[in-house]
Amino acid sequence: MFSTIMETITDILVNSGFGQVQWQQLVMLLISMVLIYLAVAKGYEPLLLLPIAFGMLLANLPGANLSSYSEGSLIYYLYQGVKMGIYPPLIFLGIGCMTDFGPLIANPKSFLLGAAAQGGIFLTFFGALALGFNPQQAGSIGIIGGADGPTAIFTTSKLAPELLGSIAVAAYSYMALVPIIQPPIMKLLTTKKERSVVMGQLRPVSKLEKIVFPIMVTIIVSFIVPDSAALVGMLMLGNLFKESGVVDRLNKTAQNELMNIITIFLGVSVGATATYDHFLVPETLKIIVLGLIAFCFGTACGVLFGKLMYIFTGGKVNPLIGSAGVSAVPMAARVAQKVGQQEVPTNYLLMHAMGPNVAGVIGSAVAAGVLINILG
Amino acid sequence: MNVDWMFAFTVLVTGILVVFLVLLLLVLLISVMGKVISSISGQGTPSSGKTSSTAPAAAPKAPAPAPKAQAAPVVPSQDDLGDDVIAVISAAIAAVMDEQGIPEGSYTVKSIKRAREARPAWAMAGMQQNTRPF
Repeated sequence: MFSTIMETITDILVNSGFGQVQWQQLVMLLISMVLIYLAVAKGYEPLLLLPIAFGMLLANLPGANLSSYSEGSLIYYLYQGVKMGIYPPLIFLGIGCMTDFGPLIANPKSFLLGAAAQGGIFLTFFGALALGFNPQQAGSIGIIGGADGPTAIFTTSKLAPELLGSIAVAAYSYMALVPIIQPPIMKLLTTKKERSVVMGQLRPVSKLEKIVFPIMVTIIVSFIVPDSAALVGMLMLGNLFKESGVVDRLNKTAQNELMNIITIFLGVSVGATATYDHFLVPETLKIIVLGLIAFCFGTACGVLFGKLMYIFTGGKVNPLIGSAGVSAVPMAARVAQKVGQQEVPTNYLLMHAMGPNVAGVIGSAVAAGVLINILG
Repeated sequence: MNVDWMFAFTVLVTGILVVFLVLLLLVLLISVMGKVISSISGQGTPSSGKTSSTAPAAAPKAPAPAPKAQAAPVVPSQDDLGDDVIAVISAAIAAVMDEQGIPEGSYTVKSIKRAREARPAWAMAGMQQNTRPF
């Protein structure tokens, strides 16, 4: 009788987390708690970092089998939406509903700044290859430089799903750190005179233009880079919901309820890919360093192209708005605004920076399509 | 690890090239769309000058005596400025110049024109209010 009780208790203990825990899992729990702290206390992209961090915590609970790879678990099924590339385009649908492409339509040249800032993606691809990653992994790491979470997740799920956890954490962490990473690069590459350029008002954009824009962009981009169609198409569908003004209910659902639900699913299941055997490897550190380089390169390429536009327009373009080409909407545009105001307090670059900023979203989706096409 | 640098270079060049081409095509099409739509709706694009450097000062300087208002040569553009307004503006200029240590007589007020502002005062106030949270 007594021995049976003891045996049962021992059994429970052996099967409990205490009996199965490995030190790496404890490290992962600690990392997830640090990320939760950053999301809650520091407000670093909390909407995504919090579910991602908690997904990491769940995935590393000993014996719970809650990782995205544990077949049959709740998170395994949620993860299928990431694996099959369903969630990122749906997030883009919501982003489309919230994005005003007006500044970009008013000044289409902003598109070029959005393209230039994607240079970081391809330059980092080189760096990642040099550090020993295979081309698919290198492409996924490079896309961190696009500063666009859903695009990074979409590309990685297609090219190198084994790196999903580390790339998602790196991408969202750096997006939160935009106000710290970008200003020194912007100041280093521009002169005081260039930063002081005051840009006036943009021309008003008619409703018709705003309605034609999403349709036109979808057709053009999808014809040239069909692999970007899912991302760009959903982004533009959301935007058409918003600009048409006739589907208010759909617009509200897409940007609120639907997007929130997808964000929860995406965050938790992407976080749950970061099991200790996938995350606690030297590659993660390399990804974090390369991600930072991608971000810096992207910012630098945008600013340098901005300088080029400054020269060609005879000093009418403030090169600072080039830095906003790295997506990260609207944080990167705010940074351009702030740095500009440090030179001329009455200078409002925000709307001018929103042009390259939203162009950057389209640019990184195109870059993702190119990478998937070549490397996939 | 054996890296195919030729392939990597191809990816780099193709990638940057395609991204630029797609976005350049969009630049062209959107510019054309803007022009077509504004011509259809018959409201010529308002030339609200996209950019301008710092707003020019109201007083052009020229070597000539007397900072006081010289009513005769003043060209009061569209605004029909009265003599008293001209006097007040000239006095203000004289005060500012004096503060900056520019001696009287080294400049003269030849014309008074409204400075082309990057943004009207009310628009500026609205902009400040809207962007304050950022």
